[in-house]
Amino acid sequence: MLIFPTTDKRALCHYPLERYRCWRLIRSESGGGIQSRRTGKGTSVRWNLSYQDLSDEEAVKLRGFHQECGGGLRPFTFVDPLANLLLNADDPTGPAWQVTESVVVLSDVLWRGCRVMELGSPGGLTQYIEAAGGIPYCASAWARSPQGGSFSMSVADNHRRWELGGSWIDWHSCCHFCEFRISGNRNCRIDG
Amino acid sequence: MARFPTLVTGAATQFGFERKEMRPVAVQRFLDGSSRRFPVSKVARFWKLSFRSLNALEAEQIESFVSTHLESQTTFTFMDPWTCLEYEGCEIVENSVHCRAEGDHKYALTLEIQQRPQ
Repeated sequence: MLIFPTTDKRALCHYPLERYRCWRLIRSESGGGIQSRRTGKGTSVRWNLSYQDLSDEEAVKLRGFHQECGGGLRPFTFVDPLANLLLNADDPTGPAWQVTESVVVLSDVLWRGCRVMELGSPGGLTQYIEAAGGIPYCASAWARSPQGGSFSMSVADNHRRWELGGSWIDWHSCCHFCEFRISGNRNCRIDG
Repeated sequence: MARFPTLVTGAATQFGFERKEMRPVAVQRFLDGSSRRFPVSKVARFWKLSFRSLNALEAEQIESFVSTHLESQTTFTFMDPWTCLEYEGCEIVENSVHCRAEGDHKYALTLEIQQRPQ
C-alpha cells in the first residue's frame, strides 16, 4: 500500500491541522416522545492538512503522491499526526506498559504524573507496538530526576536495538525527541 | 459513573462556555381562553464547551473520553462550571469531535454536553 509522504524535515504536515472524528449515531423517538439513541458501526476520521513554505522538492513529492494515488482512487497509509503511538503515555501504571520486577511505579499527585524508582538492579518500562514497517515514527518522553539520576530510551525490533540519545541529568533538561523507522516486520518494542 | 476529565490545572472547563437550561412545559388551552400549564419532564441542561491552548495530553484525554462515551452510549457525571454542582446522566450531544492543532500546546476543541431529561 502507498504511504503518505513526509516533508524534508520528516514531518507529516504543518500546523495548523484539523482532525474530525465522526461516529454514526442513530436517534429514534417513540410515539410517546421517548428518545433513544445508539451508535452504529463505523467511525470516520478526516484530517484537514495545510502546508506553507514548502520547497520545490516537497511540493513535487506531494503532487507526485497525489498523482500516484490517482486522486481519491487508491487507498494509502496515513499516520495520524495527532495520535500518540504509545498507549498510556501519561500513565506508566497503565496496562500497556510492562514493568520489570526491580522497578516500582507510583502515581505522583503533586506532579500529575508518575514516579519510577529502581530497587537495586537496573530496570525499566517496556511497551510492545504493532506497527506497519517502512514508515518513520516519532516518540517523545518527558522525564526528570531530582537526584541526578539518568534516563534512557531505546527502540528494538526482532533484529536490532537502537539507543535513542544519551542521558538527562537535571530537572530542566527533561525532554527527548527521537525518530525511528521500523523495518520489515510489524513488531516493535520501546524501552524507557 | 465516569466523570468528565479535568484539565492539567484541575479546572473543569475554560471560559467561553455556554450554559442553557430548558424546562419543558405543556400548555392546555380551554375554550374560554384560559390555559393551564404543567411540566412535562424535569429540567434539561446543555453546556457548550470551548477549549483553547490545550496540550496534546489534555486534548487526547478529552477526545478519548468522548470516543468511549459515544461508542458505548453510556452517561457520565459532569460538573457544571457555573454552579459547581455535579449532574449525572450527561451525554455528548453531537456524534463528532473536532480537534484543531495550531502548534505545541495549542490544541483547540469544542463540544456540547447535555443532561438527559429525567
